[in-house]
Amino acid sequence: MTGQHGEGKQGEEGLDSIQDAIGFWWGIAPPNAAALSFARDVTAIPAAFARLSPGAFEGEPADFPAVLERFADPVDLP
Amino acid sequence: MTVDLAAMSLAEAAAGMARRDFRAEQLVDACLARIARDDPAVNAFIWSDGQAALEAARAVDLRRAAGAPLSPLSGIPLAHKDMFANSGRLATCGSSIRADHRTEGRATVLARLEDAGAITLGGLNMSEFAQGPTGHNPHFGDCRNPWNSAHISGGSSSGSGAAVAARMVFGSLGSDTGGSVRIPAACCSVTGLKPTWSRVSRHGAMPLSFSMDCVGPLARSAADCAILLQAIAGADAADATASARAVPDYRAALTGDLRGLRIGLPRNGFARDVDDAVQAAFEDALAVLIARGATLHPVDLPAMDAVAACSAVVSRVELAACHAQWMRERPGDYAASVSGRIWPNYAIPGALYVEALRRRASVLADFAGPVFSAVDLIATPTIPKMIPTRAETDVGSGAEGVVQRFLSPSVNTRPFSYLGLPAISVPCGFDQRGLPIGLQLAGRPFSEARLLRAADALQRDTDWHCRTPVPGRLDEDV
Repeated sequence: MTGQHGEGKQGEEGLDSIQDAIGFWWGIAPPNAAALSFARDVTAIPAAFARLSPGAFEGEPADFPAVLERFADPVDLP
Repeated sequence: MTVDLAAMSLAEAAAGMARRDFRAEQLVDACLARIARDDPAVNAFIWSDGQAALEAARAVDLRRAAGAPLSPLSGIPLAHKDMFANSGRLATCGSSIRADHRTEGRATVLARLEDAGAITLGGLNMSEFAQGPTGHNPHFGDCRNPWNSAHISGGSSSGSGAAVAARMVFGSLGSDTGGSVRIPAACCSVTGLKPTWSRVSRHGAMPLSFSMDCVGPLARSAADCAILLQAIAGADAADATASARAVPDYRAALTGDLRGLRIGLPRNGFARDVDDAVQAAFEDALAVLIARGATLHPVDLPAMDAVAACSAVVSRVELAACHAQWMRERPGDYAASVSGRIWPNYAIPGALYVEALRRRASVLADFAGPVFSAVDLIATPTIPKMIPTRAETDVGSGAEGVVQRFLSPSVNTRPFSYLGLPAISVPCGFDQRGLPIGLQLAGRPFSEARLLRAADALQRDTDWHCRTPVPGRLDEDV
């Protein structure tokens, strides 16, 4: 995946986008130089999601505890 | 000859209390003496209240003298990560923002421990707002590794790992969102258990990531962790997310028998670049487990790309939401490593966050189905590299590559947090510099008893967890 939602958003262009989005939605400026270093990890997120297979239309977060139960260890071990 | 009561394990102290070998007041005195002697070098405590602890201990002694039944925690001195509500006492969250914060009411986990007779000695150092795997803290001072002060203690439950290792307390509660119990356990050579998400109530605990936060014990052994988990696990009317599933008898599971246990060695999804000393200790630990009856099986882990992508989103967005007001109004009150880490998360779109949560059930099913039909547990080094120094990982230094070095201790612990699976870190050796190495075991949901059984089996045949540091040692002393 490349283009506007892929690896093309990484690097300096991605950092600029992050800074602009946070300024628009939250009005918070980068508090220090470390913020821009940590932001490099965030620029990799769009491409990581783009590589995933499509999610289920019906999926909902509330299913998670049910799946924990479904695969649970027995209460009493042999 | 004087016996140092603080040198015992929690289980030994409980047995001694039951036999009336000593009083709870003597246990507290022994721990307070350790704190006075060693905490100046370790900095594990943010605050302590020896007077209140002694009064609580005397009350336990009076109840015992009156014939009241004892629990395994009666009179046992503990201290916890400073992030739990505790009847108006301090809960700083390791921050200057909450340096004077006192919360009414008690966290369910503290209420359960104290109602069982445990004595709370104080609040322990931690990474600010549980942000960071190293234990740096500019507000209260870094928590230092009791095995070597120049090195990180691990975080974010830094004081918990260090105080237990230095024998200042018999056990501690920490919290684990991406490795914050397991990493300090590995760095300090103690045993630390992240339970299944929902196994332990979070009522009264500081939030970081609602979807991934877990409260778990750190102690000197798996047997000690079993005692602590027994007290805190289970349903809680004050926390709707706490599971109502029955709580096993964890101590009864510690049989030492691993026959039939299948341990998976991941072919993917975890660090491939492992330091030689760590790999050697890891393999030695596996050999001990095999001798106890376990078998090893290489295993391919499905869905790990989704785990990596989604876990990066969930905890970041929830963290950012918790801190939005303070990030707007007082960003300068955070450490650079904390505000710098929170800030970029405000750019992650809401739809992506919901997508990461929506996928969580199917990702867990895709993972757990094939993996846990092939193996019972998964084994990795807790931290694939030898423990770095505090200087090497100090984000405030601005050094080239420091952010990646700062984040690296959690590379093997994070995946199990998004999956909600339980995982334990067990001491399994020391490197050539005398710094600890940890083995991580993870299992299917609610498999804490199986994890504790395996960890206990390892500890029956090794003494890594029995070794005691000499706090204050530096690299130049080696």
